[in-house]
Amino acid sequence: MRDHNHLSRRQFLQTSAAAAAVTLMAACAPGVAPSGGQNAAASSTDGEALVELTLIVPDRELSGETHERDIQAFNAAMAAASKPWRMTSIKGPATDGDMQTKLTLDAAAGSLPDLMGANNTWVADFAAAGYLADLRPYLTTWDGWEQYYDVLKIFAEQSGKIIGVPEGSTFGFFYRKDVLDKAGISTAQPKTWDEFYARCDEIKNKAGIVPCGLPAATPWGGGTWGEGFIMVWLSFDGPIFDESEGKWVVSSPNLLKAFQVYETLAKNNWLAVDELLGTNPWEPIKYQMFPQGELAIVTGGDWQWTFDWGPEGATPIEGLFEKVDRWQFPSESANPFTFIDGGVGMVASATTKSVEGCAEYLKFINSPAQMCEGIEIYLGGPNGRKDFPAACPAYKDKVEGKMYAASQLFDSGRTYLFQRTGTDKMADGVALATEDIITGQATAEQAMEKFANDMIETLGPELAKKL
Amino acid sequence: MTSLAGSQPHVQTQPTVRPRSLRRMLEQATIYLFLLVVSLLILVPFVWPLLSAFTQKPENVSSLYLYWPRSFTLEHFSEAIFGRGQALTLLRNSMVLTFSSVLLALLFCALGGYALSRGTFRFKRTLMFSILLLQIIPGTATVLPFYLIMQRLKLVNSMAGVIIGITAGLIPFMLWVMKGFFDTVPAELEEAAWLDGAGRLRTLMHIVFPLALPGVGAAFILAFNSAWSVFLLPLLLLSDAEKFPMPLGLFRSLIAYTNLDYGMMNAMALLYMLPSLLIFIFARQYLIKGTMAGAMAGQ
Amino acid sequence: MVRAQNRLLLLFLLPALAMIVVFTVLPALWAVYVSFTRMALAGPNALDMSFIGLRNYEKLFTDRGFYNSILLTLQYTVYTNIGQFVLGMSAALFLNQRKVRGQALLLAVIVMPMVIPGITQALIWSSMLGSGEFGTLNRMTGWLGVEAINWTRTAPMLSIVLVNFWNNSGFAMILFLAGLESIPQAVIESAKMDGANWLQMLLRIKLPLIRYVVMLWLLLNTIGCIGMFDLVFTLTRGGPGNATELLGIFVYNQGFRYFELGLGSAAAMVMLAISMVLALIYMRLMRVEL
Repeated sequence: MRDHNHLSRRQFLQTSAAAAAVTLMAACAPGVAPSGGQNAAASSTDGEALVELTLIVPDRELSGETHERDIQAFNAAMAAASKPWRMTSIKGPATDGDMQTKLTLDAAAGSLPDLMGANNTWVADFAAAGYLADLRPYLTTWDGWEQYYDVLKIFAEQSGKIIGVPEGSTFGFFYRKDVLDKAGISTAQPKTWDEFYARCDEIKNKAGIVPCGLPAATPWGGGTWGEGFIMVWLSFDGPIFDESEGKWVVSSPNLLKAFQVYETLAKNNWLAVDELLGTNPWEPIKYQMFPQGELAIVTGGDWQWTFDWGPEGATPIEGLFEKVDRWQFPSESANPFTFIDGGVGMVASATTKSVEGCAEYLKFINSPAQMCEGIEIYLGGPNGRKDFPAACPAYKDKVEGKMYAASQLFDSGRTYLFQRTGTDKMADGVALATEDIITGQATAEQAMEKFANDMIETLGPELAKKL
Repeated sequence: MTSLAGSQPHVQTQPTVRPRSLRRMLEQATIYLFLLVVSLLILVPFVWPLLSAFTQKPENVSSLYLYWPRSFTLEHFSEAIFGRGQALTLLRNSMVLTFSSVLLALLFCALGGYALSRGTFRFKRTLMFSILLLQIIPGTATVLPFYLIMQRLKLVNSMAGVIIGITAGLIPFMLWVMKGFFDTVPAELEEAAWLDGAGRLRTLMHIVFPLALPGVGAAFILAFNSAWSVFLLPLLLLSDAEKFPMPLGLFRSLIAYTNLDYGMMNAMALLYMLPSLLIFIFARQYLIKGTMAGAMAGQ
Repeated sequence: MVRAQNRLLLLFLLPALAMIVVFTVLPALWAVYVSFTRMALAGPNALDMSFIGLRNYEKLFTDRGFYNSILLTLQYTVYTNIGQFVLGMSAALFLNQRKVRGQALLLAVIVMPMVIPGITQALIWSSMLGSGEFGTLNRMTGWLGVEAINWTRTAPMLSIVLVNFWNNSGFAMILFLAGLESIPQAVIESAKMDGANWLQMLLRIKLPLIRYVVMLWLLLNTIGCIGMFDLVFTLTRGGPGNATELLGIFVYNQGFRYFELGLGSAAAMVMLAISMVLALIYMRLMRVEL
């Protein structure tokens, strides 16, 4: 019996060791496996061998509908032109976080779909990893390319590749015009932060409501960075990312001034601190207090006109366009600016069956004719093509002309490429720092000191430096 | 032994007749108060989902919180079932995934648990302890190799893949539980049957398994619950919306265009909870007795 | 005979074991290996499996965030253990009294949260713990005259511990009740004759007699707490700040947010080591064999 057990255990161990070795080799395989690269079919023009491409889209109702329409039209157009590419869609997780997890896993396993909806939180890292295809040869020669605003094109380039067709949104302060008017407060554009503070003080004293819901602290997640801090940081003159060394500047006079904005707002009770510190802070701030006129100013992008407060939005505001208006961000040099944040809508996998086919799809869905039909279903942001308003007259009137107006700002607005390696950690660090500031646990100086040290620790000195 | 969760009324069977002192009454009152408060605290969280699923919310109020409803409505449910919620498809998929994997795991673990209970392998204790500890390594650290294995086995984007994955996840725990239950069945009972020439598998089926049935019932409920709520696995493996189970589809309604009316979301959530609650209500005796028996098994 | 029987039994064990080996052991071994590499899931080091020795572990042990996570995980474990023990044991002791009416119903209510799917729990509790005067919990404390607080902010640890109580105390209670039910009535009676009061009864008679069950619960609960991920993640995502960044969430963040899977795997190994040590200590302290 002893013998028997001994034997079986040894066998057991041997088997598992062998199996483990197999798995380890399998795990290394994606880098080696030639899962893509069969481009032969793609370049065939005889139209006989069809190339089936897949597009992963989040499992959401409305955007799903638009994608389905695009795909059908694309397949019909390809068939008519006897081109070999055909697209099918697959449904991915509905939330951005889950989608990132799934795509990361697919990428590491070498099984990414051909095309995927992109998100600024991961495109830079995916590009750096070599997961994304370079569409440069196909997109830069496309006649539509020159129609894109230059300010948006910088977002299409990552790790030396053109990874997709750019798109963008404009950001500003949204405020309750009706409430300010009623309280006799000026609604003129505040040019400097001091003017902005003065306005906040008036709102607090005359209207008696919470002046500002600038995203801050950790509960807001990425929004603290993307819908708030980066604009504040950009409003002060000075370095943000040192291009020559490839390092984030994590301690500088302009960064300190940015942190001081939060300090000032919190110290004077101009900020909805309690709400910012709760779970899902956007719920009370954007969907409760602002619609009810209990909070005067929030930040955000063009989508708020539709998704948040539009008639079919999360919390519709009746008479939205009379009650709500926009300011630009104040700046140190008294040159208020609209912030433009961009990205790419879709990226292609480096392992795709056909880079050309993916590019063909992107060109097709970004053609004015196709987009003009799309805006009849929904319009979530301004269009990035200069020729679009002329090609699609309906666009000008959609959402009370707000989207059209926003696309006119692409020329004059300011932007900065905040999507770089380490953005995620920077965003987390800023969330922590602003939280320390608005809770009064640290002064702006102390918070920046701690932030700088944390960043140098987690990003490493090769990606972060103090000025 | 008194029937713990029994349905018969509890008759006072005090042997000695003592006058009820004030102290005893106070004692009883404390007990009831404690149990009452605890039960209330447990039930309170269910108020909001029920309220928001069955009523119309007033305007300008976030549906995330309690509110005075405007009116009773079944609209959220009809939207969830017949409208964009597609609850029936989601529930059917959940059922298929859950029942297949639970039955598969029960089969494997009935056999394996029996072997662990009756066998005298030298490495048994180490094996059982390792099985338990292996569970600690978080899924996020092992998900990539797991995914690669599924890929090599061609199980990605198939119901079979998810079923096998869930089964594999259930086995370690179930193996433990089932071993415990089989330990409660005295070996003498089946030894007599062997002498009659009945094989091990048949004695397992006809003698041991029926005796361990309360335990199997408990294992079934625990396994059902864990399989019913599996989220990450189908999320990563499935890319075909027709195959999605309920926990994946639940989010679909949350992040739609009108992304913040929790009414339909809660209707979906209630539909999703219903099967586990039904099973719990009908089989809770098993769950309670079985878990208790299993807990005592190793002693 | 015994030998042949054992061989047959081993055959019975084979399917379950095969599944465990393929889907649990292999990935676990892989994770062990990865913890010694610079493997990342994306970024410049993507899929770089080169061996870097103990460097991940060195980096971990100089990372304040990691110590914070270990500390939080231990706190979470201790609080839930104590709380569940007190709640579960009180309920079990009360229900063990044969004179309590409506026992079945109470038992069912207390056990019910166990069967609520995780996602639904997160949904329910996001409303319960809502900040300001709107949150259900705040309304309740409001009736008692307590000012509304921001639960996940002011008391993040308490919030996640509270949810844990709600979810798991029922399980503790069933286990304890099982133990208490199994104590022979004669033992209780004779202790009563000796004039033991309830406290002595509990400490000297009942607890020592059910120590196996208590150990089993402690072991399962501790392992569960150290590996805790989904419930806390869906509720707080590890925040505010990193006030609830338990080890499970730390591992997730390293691997899937920052893409540093090697570092994340190393943290997972530390988790495993902590659980193992605790399990051995429990077994030694309780003087029970597995």
